[in-house]
Amino acid sequence: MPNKYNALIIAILCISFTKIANAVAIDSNISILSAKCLYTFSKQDEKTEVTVKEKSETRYKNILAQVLPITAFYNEKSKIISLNCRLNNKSVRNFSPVDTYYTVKDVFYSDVRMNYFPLEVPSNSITDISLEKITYDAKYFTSVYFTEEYRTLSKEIIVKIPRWMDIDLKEMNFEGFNITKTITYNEKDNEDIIKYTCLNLPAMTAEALSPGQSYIYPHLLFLAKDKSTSSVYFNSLQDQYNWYRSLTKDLNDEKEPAIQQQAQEITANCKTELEKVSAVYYWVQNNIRYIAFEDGIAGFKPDSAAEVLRKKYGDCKGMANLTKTLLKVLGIDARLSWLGTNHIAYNYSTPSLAVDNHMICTVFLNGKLYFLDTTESFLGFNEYAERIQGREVLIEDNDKYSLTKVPLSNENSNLDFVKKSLNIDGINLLGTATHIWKGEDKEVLLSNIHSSKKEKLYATLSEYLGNKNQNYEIQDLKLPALDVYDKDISVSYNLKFKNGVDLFDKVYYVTLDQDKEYDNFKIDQGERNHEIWLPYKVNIQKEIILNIPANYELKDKPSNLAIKTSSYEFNISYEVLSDKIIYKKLIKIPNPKITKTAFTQWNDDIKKLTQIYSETITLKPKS
Amino acid sequence: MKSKFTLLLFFISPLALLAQNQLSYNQKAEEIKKTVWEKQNPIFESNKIPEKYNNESAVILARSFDMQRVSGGKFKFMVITATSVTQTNKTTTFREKIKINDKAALDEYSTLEYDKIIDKTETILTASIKNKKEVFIGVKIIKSNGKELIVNTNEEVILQNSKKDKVGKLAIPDLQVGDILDYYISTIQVKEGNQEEDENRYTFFLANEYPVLNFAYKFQYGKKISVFNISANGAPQPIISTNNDGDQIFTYTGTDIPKYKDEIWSSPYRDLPYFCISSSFKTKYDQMMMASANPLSKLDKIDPKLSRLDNYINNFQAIFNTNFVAFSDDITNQAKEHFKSSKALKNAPLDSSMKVIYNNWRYSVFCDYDADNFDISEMNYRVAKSKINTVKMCKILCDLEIPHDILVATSKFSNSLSNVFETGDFQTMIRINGSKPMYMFFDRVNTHFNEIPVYYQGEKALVLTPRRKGDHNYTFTRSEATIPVTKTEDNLLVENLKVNFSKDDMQHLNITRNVNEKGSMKTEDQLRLCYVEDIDKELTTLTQGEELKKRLKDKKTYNNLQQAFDFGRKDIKKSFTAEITSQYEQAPKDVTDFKVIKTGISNAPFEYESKFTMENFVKKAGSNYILDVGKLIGKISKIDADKKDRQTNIYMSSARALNYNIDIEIPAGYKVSGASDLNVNITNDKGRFNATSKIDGQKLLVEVKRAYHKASIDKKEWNDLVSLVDAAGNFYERKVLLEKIN
Repeated sequence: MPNKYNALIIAILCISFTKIANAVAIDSNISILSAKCLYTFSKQDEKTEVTVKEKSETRYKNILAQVLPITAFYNEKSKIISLNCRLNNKSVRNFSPVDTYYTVKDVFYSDVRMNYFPLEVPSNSITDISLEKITYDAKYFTSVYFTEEYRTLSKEIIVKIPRWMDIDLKEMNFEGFNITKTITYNEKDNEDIIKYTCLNLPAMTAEALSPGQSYIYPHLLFLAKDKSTSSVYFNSLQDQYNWYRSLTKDLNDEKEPAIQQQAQEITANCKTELEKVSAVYYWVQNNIRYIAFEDGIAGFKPDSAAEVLRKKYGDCKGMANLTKTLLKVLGIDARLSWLGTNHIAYNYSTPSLAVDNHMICTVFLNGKLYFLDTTESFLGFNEYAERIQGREVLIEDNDKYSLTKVPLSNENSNLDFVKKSLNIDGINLLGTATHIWKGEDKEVLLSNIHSSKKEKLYATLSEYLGNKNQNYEIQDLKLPALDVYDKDISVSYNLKFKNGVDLFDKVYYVTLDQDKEYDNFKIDQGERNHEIWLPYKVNIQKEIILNIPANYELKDKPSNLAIKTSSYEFNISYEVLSDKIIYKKLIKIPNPKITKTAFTQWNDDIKKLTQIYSETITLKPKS
Repeated sequence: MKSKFTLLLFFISPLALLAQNQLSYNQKAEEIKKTVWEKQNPIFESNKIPEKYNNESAVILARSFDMQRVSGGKFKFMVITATSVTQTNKTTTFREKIKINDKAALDEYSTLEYDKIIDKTETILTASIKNKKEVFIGVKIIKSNGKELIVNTNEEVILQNSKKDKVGKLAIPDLQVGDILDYYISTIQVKEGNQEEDENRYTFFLANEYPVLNFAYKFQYGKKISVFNISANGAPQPIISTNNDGDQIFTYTGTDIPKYKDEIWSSPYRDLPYFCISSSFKTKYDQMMMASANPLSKLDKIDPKLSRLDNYINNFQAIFNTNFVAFSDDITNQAKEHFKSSKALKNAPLDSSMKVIYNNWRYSVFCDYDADNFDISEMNYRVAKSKINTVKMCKILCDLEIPHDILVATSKFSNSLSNVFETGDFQTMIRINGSKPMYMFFDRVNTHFNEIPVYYQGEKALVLTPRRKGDHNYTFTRSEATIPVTKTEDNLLVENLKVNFSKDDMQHLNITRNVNEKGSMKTEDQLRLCYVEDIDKELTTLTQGEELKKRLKDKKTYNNLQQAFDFGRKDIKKSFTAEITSQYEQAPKDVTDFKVIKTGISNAPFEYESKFTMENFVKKAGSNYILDVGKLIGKISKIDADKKDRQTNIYMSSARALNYNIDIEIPAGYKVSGASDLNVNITNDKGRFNATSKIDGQKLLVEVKRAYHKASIDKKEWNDLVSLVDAAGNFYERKVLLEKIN
């Protein structure tokens, strides 16, 4: 047996860890036994901003020994006062959280920072974490979530609101959760104490195609109203607009020579004002790189137009401001506009900094409104991304504002269209094909194409057209203009689909549809926690003509399918003529949100669609 | 772009360097900027791209790397004494000039992230030990009209801004498709104290994802610094020169390197040109002090007259003559217990006794657990350190007077033995010299006695024959050998599939899949599917070792581990489901049963079985059904058209055979058509793909045999391999018809 010394040698010298497989996450190993969070609003005097102090105590239990990551986030408008830890009721030696930056996916720079400490916890441990944090201005304190990264057995959220402060607490997504509320008055401190108690909260989980968190998890939305003489709060949307306006009203680069020159260059060949708007939209879209910044006050204040023009990059605010300024130079009524994308559950009826996360430019022209979102890399002028469609948009109007909505487009604004005419040649299918893409389908295609290297462009497009099928050979394909986004994109080519036909005893078995969108798109109702939100409204139209070989006739064909609900339509038909079969497929999903109550119906319908996809045409020799 | 710059650094004269230490960060940045942009460098002058590269995403017009290192002893006053420390000043500059031809390249090069300052200087009362690295960047854009713009790098954002740790990030302004980007990353590093050689090692492949028109890599070292370099696979040797100060200068230059395409089954270290260069400096005082603090450090002597490998081997041999790896008789005692006596052990057949000793070693290493890490998912993937364990085993074998050798070899997926540059480049194993040679390799828990991991098979080995003269007195004689190669049939996978059409839905297949694997075919699946606790129990039984509770003296560690074992057991089904999903590139509808039948830990082979239901293998054709028979052997893709031309030689893990016996129950009322079309036979000297089928009553029996006879194949013979892979890929698409009998 290894003695102690040898065991040590073995541990140190003989083994290294080379991992050739991904670790399995052990979420269920940790739970929160109890958490208590106290939020207190206070101010030193009438001249200072109202601050929000957070004091929380959280007790974790883990079953297995592992590393418990202890993190506390803050940003430019907040500070961590203290972060302490006790493990199994004893202080932790060398507990020294590192203060570091936090990388947010797809964001170039964020002011979010964190204190972090990886605590090694033995099995069956109890870890107590206490945190004190301050937010310097109640305006930036927008929401508190009840749920945590781990399952939580019990949690208390206590909010102390002095009567000199007016706060509207919006209770969001409480339905279905065990949350109770009490309100008491503390005469001594002249404050209302609102206490929420919740039991058995599930862990927050990330699932693909989910709505934003503000739609899902219970939380409080804090709407601070103004009873103070010095602080800026949003009693109304006008107040919120006034604050935004204060950050943007001095942005005035219209007289900058570079801006003027650029505006003239862009529109040199434009004959109408509408052409100018369109030209500016495409120029900014093509020439300014989108780079996301989330940076405190700078996260609300656009970069100047001249700077964005010089740098050739900007975030949504900078790009919107450059678009607006170029258009203003040309005498066009263009305005900055704020909106919350569909990732956010709120609208401007709840004035708060949590309401919006995006900025675009709105153009007023000939009695019409045009919403220019130049961060969309491949959408055409007057095409609106799903994420902003129907969303309220707050448009600047000097000291006032106007509120409207980005128009909702129906599913016909998007299109994935294919028409093929095919002949059987042995076990291959030969023929011609035409594809047309518009709207978001065009954007997906172009994003794929432009993320591939130039020399692989043809191969990438071919792969896209053939749905990655190695047997799908494309000939005589002329590349369309892939840098023009204001038109639908169309390609035509000759194709040879090798082994596209099964031949048994002179009988042909043909599967015409190789794309099979939503094939097996079943939702695992046991596993899935959230609704499914498809990225955009779906409009798929495919028509495939199969010319029946001479001396052959149709023996069998798949059934037709016609499903129509209020949210989607699956329609597949096989029209049989004397010498051809015309396969038509229409998949329309005008409502891309599949609610949990619709899962069963969706699965039933997908099963039918999948079944049709799994059936073939049978052509037999004429007898 | 971030990853490219992390370790890349620059060149200024030594005097300038010393002067610069007095300058602020901004002053240094200005001086470097001036030096880089104003210094004449012919390879960076041209902006012309050869016509043949017009369709490239990006073309690197020029790339350079300049490094300068000076080191020397310096007397330093500490608190109560004085000491001598080595101070190393190192500067580097990586510079690259790229034509950006599309959005993909623009995205790749549009931002830079870098550690601006890393200061690990330590202060002990009044004395400080410097260790600081500063990074400086510069960017220039040449527009298509020839206009040059020098980017103001102060536009960076600072991600981390402490005095000792500053991280910057720059979005390059005004960079557009069609522009030429010219940038540099420079570092100045000052470090006091011993600097390990690996901190000064640079490896450059002369191959890149974009064509490179010109390159120049220059390394300058103070005259007292030892420099080591190799050029491999046709990479140029450096031009070596000295300057007036006696500095040693190594320069590598070249032109027009075509782009390198990623290829399946390749080994870049064996095929692509690359060079390594590193340097070392230790004062006598350093060596003396280190030796007293760490006895192993005195072994770390480099003789510039010897090859890198010879130096490492000398050091490896020297370990035998230290206490560093103490002789342990636990493994031997356990073997004696196994054979009931020392005499019986000695008299046992060599293959039997050595196997017992090897298994005891496995138990001693893999049935011991880290008291701080209970991550079940990692435990099967522990890898033994071959050199330490070789020393340990060699001492045991010498003690037992078993004739054996130590073999030194490299993996075929890393450098060759002649290109060993660092100690991690080679591993060691033991060859027992009985009537026929037997091998002990110290690798993973599922490596058997006399099993050589495939990576080392066929490789040339240096043979060290030990002679023990005393406890700490070993001598070695050297010779050469080639490590044996396993044959096709040694690395075998046999899958037996029983396939039934579901009674409820003919388009659902119920599959019972029994898999037998041996040799290299078992390694991955065994680690994935055998549960760590079961392996522990089997090794314990095999070696008559102590059970876990007794073995782990610390009760807390035992409790933690047992709890982790219990907790992790529920994930076994997930492992089986994942294995099925990866085999068919499709998740099963459900998995009804799964088990490991033979772990293969004690003896080969490994056997497991699962029962599951698959959808999408059967199409409906009127009243008939079409079965995708080919899919039952698992997903196999054909070689893509653009991969049919091969740039590099082929390195597969091993020769191997994969056999599938598929037994399909034909549903009553149906007959099978097209079975004869399943028959395929492609055979060449690289391997074969053979499929046969027959109808036997109500059964369709399909037998598929795939074999690859060679692990390493010259690129000229790629087409032979393509024909085998494509034959398998074509079979994957084969179908049969189940025709309704009227």
